[in-house]
Amino acid sequence: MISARGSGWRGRLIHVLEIAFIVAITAASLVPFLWLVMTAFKDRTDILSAIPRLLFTPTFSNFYEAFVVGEFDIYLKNSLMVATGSVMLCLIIGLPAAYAFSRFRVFGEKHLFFYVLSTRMAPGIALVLPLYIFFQSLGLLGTVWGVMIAHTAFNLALVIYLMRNFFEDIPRDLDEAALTEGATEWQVFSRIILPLARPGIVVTVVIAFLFSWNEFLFALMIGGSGASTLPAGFPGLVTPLGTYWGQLAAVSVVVSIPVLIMVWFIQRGLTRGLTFGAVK
Amino acid sequence: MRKTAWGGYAWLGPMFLFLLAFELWPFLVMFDQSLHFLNYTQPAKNGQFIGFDNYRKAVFDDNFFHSIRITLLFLVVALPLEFLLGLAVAVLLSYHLWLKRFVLPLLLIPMILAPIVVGLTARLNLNPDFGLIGIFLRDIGIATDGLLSSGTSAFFTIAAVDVWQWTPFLTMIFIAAILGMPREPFEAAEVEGANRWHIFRRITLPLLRPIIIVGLLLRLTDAFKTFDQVFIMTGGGPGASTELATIFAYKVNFASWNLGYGSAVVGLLFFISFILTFVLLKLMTRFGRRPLT
Amino acid sequence: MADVRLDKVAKHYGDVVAVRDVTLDIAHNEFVVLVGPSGCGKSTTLRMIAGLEEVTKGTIRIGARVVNDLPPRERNISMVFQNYALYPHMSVRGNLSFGLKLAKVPREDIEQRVWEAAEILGLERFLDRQPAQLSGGERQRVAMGRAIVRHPDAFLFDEPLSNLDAKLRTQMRTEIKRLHQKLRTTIIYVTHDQLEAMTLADRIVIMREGVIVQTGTPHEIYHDPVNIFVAQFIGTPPMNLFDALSAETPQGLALQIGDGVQLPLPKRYLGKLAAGREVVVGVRADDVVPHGHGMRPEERWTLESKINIAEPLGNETLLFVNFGAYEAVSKMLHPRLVRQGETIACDVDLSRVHLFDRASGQAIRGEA
Repeated sequence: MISARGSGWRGRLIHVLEIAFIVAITAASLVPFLWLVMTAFKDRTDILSAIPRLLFTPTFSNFYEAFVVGEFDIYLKNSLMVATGSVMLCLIIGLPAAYAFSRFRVFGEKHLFFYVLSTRMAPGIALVLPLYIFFQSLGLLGTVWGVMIAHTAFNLALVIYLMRNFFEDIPRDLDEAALTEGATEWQVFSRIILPLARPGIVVTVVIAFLFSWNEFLFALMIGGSGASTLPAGFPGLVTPLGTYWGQLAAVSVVVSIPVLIMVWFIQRGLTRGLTFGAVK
Repeated sequence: MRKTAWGGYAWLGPMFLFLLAFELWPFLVMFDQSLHFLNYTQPAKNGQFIGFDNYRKAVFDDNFFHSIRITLLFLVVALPLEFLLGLAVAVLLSYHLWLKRFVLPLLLIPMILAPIVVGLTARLNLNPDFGLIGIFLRDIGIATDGLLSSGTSAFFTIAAVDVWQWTPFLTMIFIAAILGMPREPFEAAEVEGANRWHIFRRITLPLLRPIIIVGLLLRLTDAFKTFDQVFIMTGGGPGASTELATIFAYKVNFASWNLGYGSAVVGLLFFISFILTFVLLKLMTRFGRRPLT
Repeated sequence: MADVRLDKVAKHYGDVVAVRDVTLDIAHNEFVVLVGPSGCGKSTTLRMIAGLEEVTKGTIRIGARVVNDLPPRERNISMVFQNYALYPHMSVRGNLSFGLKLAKVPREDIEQRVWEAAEILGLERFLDRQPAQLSGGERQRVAMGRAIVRHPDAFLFDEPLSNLDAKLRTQMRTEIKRLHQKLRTTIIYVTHDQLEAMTLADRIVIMREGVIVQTGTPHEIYHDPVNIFVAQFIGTPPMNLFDALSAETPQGLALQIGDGVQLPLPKRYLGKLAAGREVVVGVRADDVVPHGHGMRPEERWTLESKINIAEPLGNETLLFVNFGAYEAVSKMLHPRLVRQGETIACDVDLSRVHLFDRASGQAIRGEA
């Protein structure tokens, strides 16, 4: 955007240094994770080697150990169920609510923002403990449903807030045109607004899915023994006998793949989504 | 804003029901629990109603206060670094926009990884026996037992990991903000002969102010929640050198199972985050307006 | 087909009164234009008729029914919006047929009606395009097409031409007028542009600050404004206005405009005015014409003046002339070249001069 730059050899040197700096930071962001990914494909001796091995024969044994021999295949299934389930719940409950907040004079407009922010700002433990106690009495501990509901509780506020924001972008003229043409409010919502809000819905779904997929504490405490998700399975690999780094790395890779893919797709909406619309 | 039947009950009903059932009610149950003595290790007293004793105990609990202190120190160390680094990268990137397409997706990786994976990555890399960075540090004489094995270094390490993880967030929002700025002030300044540093100080920075505030405040409240990474890296140790408030709360409830007291601690944490939210809102609305130069 | 009746309709937003008291009868098939400066309440009134705003006081009837509590979709009206409000995710055909699909009209009927509307508005080529691919004028026509297909009892237009450039606006004006002739349906049209109002309306309703100031045909409004506001609002260039005092002279009552300029009292005001009355004299530029340039005044009076500025429009020239300390605008038909400072004698047609009471701004009625 700015091109003003000193000329001559000093200018060129600074130019190169700046690029080098950016590349260095990028590398620093990338390398530790790449190391983890490589570890996932190393056998035990390569992992524990005293000299860091950049070249090695890759193996799938860690994946095999974790997913076939171990229980991480179940955990993977649980992760998928919990994430898709909680996102769907969030949409079913949250989309109409967000629409109402955008279009109607309803109770709680002003409180919405505050509610959203406080559920988002409260530390995980503050949301986990109440649900833990409650679910214990309901017998929902250790069930996929329990974790799903917990994640919905965690994400709902954000989904409503984000979608309200996206709905606001759609001019009310369209509502009014459809209303005069004979549409009921529900028809306006389902046939005009939702189709137009699709990009926003995609961003919101991805963000909510990722939060659920990556989530650790709720899954650990509420999913516990019966319904662990992938992240919740990690502590199990850190035993007094030793840490199973290979498997940990392998599971980490599996956890990270959907994340990387999805974020690639919604890069543009990400800024807006993660700052509650403050930055477009 | 239109009117709709029954104040929108059909649209908001499910939301209110869900909130009532799964957020409000459990919270009330927890609050009730905080008013009782609940510790299986003392079966005689277990289940007794003790009013606000737990809260009193928490307020005077040295360990709790230590954990709050650690949390605050954590914020004070990590956030300025994230902010400076994030700003630097964003501004430099704005001078070389062609790089953005390639660099930004890679830069964002630490931020979008599961926090627990971030902690794991750090722990792996920093291991002095076989970690990429750990081995290097050991060989040059720093942290021969690993950065996570001694109190002070562990603390700075978790701060550094936070910087590694969240600088991309700040970079992302700063570059988005920079790209959204009107061209005219920049062009005018260039025509008037300003060099890049001047432009940065006099134009870019003031225009960035609202975003800086937003970003910093978001990070402030988010950093308060940090748990997963530190849990898997140090579990709060060695000793209590990395015991953030969230970790302390976890230990009281799910390690010691002192649920009555633990509920009070969590209640207090919730209260603190409420205050933070409120302040965040106030500051965001006050400073969030764009400065018109 | 229905008539629309507003009876003491008012709209309050909390303490703010947007519409104070509107009583209006619109007949079958009439083309009524609500016109006035921004904030006068014309759009709010229209939206109340549509059902997009709640009525605070009064009743609105469409046909025989009182519609106050009916939602828009039960009122059988169609609305054309200023920003077109086309559904971006549907094709033109989709936009046109949406309302019909909602009403569960059989598919063949929908296709036929869509085609009819497309033909009337020249949209045949665009049926499968997306709104984003159309120009402003084309989009406006789709918006109108969407309104037509439903065969409503009344059409409501909310400043539909405001977003178009001047040339397109004049074109579309004629199209709308043609449409009205063809469709024979009640049209209620809101605009801030008095020229649109004059050219389109069967009847004009001038509003200001929430109330109706005057209703009448364009001719009535133009030639018989009820107060200074209407006189100035309608007509380009705005009517010339001068403060004057009625005074006795040997020749009878005259109107004294400052020192030295004296206008004889127009015949139709004989006996209607006392001496010493403070008035405002109004005369349109069309009635102040340089001698020999197109006017045959009924009651001639000559104004000697000096040319200050000339604005040639091609077929006529607007002359800003000075007389004494005052300036008037005059229309010169069949214009010739003039020079600044040139003296010119203008014919003023006294029979077209208006008198207004200075304090209240109301027109003083003379003999018809």
